Amino acid sequence: MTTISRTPPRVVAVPAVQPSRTILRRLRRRPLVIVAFTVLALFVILALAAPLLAPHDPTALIQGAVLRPPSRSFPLGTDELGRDVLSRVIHGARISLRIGLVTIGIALVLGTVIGVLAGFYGGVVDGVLMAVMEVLLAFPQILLAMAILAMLGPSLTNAMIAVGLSAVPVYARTARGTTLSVRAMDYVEAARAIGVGDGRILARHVLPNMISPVVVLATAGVGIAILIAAGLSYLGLGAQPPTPEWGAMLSQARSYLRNAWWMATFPGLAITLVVISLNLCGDWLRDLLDPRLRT
Amino acid sequence: MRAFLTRRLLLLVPTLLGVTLATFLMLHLTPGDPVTIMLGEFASASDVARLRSELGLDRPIVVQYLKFLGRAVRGDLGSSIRSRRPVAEEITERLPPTLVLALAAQVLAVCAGIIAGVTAAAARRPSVDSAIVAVTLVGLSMPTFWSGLLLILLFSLTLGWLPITESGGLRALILPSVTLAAPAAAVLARVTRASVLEVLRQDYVRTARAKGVSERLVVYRHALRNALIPVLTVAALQFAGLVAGAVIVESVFSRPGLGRLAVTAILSRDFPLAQGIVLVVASMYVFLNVGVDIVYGVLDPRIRYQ
Amino acid sequence: MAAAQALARIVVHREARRAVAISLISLLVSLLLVPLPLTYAQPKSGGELALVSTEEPDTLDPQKTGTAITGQLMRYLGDTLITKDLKGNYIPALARSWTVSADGLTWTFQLRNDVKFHDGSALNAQAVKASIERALAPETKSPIAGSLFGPVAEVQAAGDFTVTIKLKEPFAPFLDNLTDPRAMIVSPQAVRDLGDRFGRSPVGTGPFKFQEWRSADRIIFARNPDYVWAPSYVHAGPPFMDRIVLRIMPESAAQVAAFERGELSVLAVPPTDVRRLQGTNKYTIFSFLRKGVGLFMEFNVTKEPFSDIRVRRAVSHAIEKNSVLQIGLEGLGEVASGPLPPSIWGYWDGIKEYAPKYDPGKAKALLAEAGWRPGPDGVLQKDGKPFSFVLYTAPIDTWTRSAQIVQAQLRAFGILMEIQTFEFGTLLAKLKAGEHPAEFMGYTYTSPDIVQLWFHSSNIGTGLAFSHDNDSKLDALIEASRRETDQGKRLTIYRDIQKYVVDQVLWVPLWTNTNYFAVQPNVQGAKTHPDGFLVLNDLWLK
Repeated sequence: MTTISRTPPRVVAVPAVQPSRTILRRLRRRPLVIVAFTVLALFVILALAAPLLAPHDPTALIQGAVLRPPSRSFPLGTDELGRDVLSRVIHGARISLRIGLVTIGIALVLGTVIGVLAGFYGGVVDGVLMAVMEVLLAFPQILLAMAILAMLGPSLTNAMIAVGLSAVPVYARTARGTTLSVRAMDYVEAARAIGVGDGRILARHVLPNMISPVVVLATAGVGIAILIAAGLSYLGLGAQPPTPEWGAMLSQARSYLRNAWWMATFPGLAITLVVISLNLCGDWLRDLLDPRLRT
Repeated sequence: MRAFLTRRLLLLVPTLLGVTLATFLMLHLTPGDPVTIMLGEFASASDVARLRSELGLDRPIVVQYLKFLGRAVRGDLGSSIRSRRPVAEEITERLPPTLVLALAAQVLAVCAGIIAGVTAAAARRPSVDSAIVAVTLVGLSMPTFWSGLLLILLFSLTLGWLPITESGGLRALILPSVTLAAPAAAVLARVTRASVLEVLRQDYVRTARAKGVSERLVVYRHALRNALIPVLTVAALQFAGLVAGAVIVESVFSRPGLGRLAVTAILSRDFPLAQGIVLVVASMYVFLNVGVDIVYGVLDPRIRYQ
Repeated sequence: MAAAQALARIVVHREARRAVAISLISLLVSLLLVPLPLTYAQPKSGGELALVSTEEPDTLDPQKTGTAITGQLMRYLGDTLITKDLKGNYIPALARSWTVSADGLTWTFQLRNDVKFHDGSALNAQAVKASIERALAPETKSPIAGSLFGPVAEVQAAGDFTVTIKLKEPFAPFLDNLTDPRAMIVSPQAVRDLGDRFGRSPVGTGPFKFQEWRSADRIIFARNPDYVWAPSYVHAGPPFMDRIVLRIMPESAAQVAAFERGELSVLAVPPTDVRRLQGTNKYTIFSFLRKGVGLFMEFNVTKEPFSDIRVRRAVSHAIEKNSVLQIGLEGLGEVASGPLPPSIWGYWDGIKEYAPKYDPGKAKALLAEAGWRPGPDGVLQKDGKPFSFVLYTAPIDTWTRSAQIVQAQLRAFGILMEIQTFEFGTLLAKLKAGEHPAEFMGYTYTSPDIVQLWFHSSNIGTGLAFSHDNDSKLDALIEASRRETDQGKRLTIYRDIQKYVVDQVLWVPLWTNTNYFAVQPNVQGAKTHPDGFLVLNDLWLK
């Protein structure tokens, strides 16, 4: 939903580093954000240590344990093939983490490069790059992702690439905006006056000072990316069986809504928890770094 | 005013050209030979040649694009590889149910979003505000393919109140449109809340308050009217997003529509069909954008001269 | 309800009075013997029967279709020259009688003279000739219909209502094939007028005529009011219902929910819900073993790694079919062994013993023999390449589940199987082209001649020969089975074909399901045909 903001983000030069004590003090006033960070940390731990924590192989069919409700031996029940839902949800965290990192990695890197080049050099470079970005912004993100997926063919990797690429225009626009404001700063002018090369100016002055709004955007973007990628998997365009991706698990649970509520409940809960936490942290970070945007 | 309108409408041209170009390039930026992807690597040589010339792939790329553009302007989007039917025909057939769903969701989202947003902004007790903010957060974060399933489970399977398939008429629209509206309503609620809060800080509101106008009147008469402009902008722009978002909701509720057609097109690597759908939805988005800009310009003269 | 019962009683009364010797006792007995008074109620005209399908037809052109659902629909839209009654006897349909020459080569059909196509044109010998010739024409690229008529030398219109079909050689399945819905006679005038659009607005002579097809949503057929040429096993005259609506709903869970809400009249119950629906006692449930193999894995023998018969055989020993049946199908069916199920004439009972069984030892030995050795990650390797392949399949719940079980079973042998799902029409196109290493398939058919469609090399690329196996020995066996008119000898040939297909491991047959049809209580007069479809002519809605 971030794609819909019409006016270019109100960009201000943001002090790059906040004294950490202030951050902690502010955090204390927002207990929900602490909970959100904790939830995210938990999921990251689950993701990293999935093979150690999951009681079963997420794709192993357990003999004679089809559609078991939650019990002591299967805390979240089993699915229609006799696979342990808990193990699948845990391994699903691993996949979602990868989706988040890959998609945002693509969007952040490409978006920043395009935005900084356009903002720093201006002129024809700016005109061409931003014209392309403007056209791509004419596509709702999920549509753009699906168009890219139509080109690449359906698979989880391609879905990640598609979601990442579809977010690039938004990042590029923000990056360009902040770069423009940084470029006008005295210290950039000064560096230029004493004959410092473009590369050095970009690396030393522009990048460090323009990046925080983009990073804020990325924090909220991870949630959206995970949602869209899971949606694509739900449609059968992303993860293929037996991959324990949360969206794919929900899609598989459709036929068992009545007989096995646990199959749809736990992956749905997992994805909602992660996205809520990401959104909370994103809101908080934005407030922290850009008080003028506070709502 | 006329200058503004002309400028805005003229801007449409390059954007639409860009959209057609991007859609056109889908076929050419595809890794590998699109014809092979569509027909399979063991397709007969005559089939391959036929499709290649049908798609015009044997001509220079500029000519191809101009042809594509010329046909698109006349409403000819080529033929589906899968069904051999005109893409335009398939899309016109499938667009209405999707538009109906998106419109219903839009109405719901605007109503729910504005009510929630204003209530939160005007709430005297912070707990009400926090509660509404929390609900919008959940609405934003819950995937529609889960919330839809939960609604089916509760209202269709357990309580048996509402049908889940399309044949139930208007009643069958309730669950899908609620599902689709939830994230949009959450966004609108947040925008409304922020906008109302900002307006309430303005001088004229303070003046009204100082004059002893009741708080209710302040909020509803003075603040709301001005606060709603950005809200309606966002709402209008959401519409194309709702059309795109219908992809998932249609799949959850087994509704026929453009979304399911798009999924079929991608799964069967039917490029002309996929291109047609992308082009239609993106163009809708562009037109909505311009429409909103114009309405915005009419409502708020300052914008025109920017 | 009460009125209907009273009516029923009166009907019984009158019938009883007609009897010559009538005693009070026998009247009472006859009243008591009426099992359900309502079955005597007069059928009522009107209403709409809502059917449902998971797949959307590829086309409604009976001569160009490859999907089973189209075959089912053509039963309602079209008529064949002859048909089968509820006991399986051949009876007249469009042809009121037929004869065959002593050498079995010349078949002569006397047509009815009162039949009109839905477009108003008359059905005559010329129309039948044109329709059959279109099915046979190479440019029609008919996946199924073209093969039905067999080795046709010539179709002649010997008179206005006399058609002669001359065969090049005797063709045993001929009569049976003529009853296949895809052998229906289509209107040559409509074919000419509509061209490519015929498949979206087909014209036949059946009890229902095409009305509308809304893509991905529904197909509507309306009653054909002129239908006076019904076959003898149903009532004369047009069907009772105004319309049949086929809803297209890809998700079986949605189908079940819609049925239980009364939005659908008839439901092919998915295995997951069979026991629950039976338990409600609300619906009439018909069940019968599917006429056809419900699911088999087929290998493309022209592509690595399954070009090696040892690998194919190894896979057939590596799959434990009973788990696939129990989990994939909830046990509602039986394990399949060969290309024919017990529900089709010609099935050889010995195939159960003859077919390869689950045997991990043999599977491993065969794989080793073929050069596949475990790599460091446990995955089999040969010349540095891992043993991984893509299984092409369709989005059918029971297939997807079965695929994942097979996937897990093969993984235990170090074989990586990736599952790719395609919409049915797309899947068929890809299989014809032969880009798949292996696929999941199933079929429904009424006669053993189906082996011709699956295995004869003439069907590679156009028909259903997705194994792409060009084997002259198999071709010769199939041709012999079609030539042989002695039923006993034919059985022997079919036995040999079943053994040969198993020997060559072109398929790993997995299961044949029991079909369950649930019918709403307001649906009266529903009956199933032994060929496995619902007869709609006598059906009416209360």
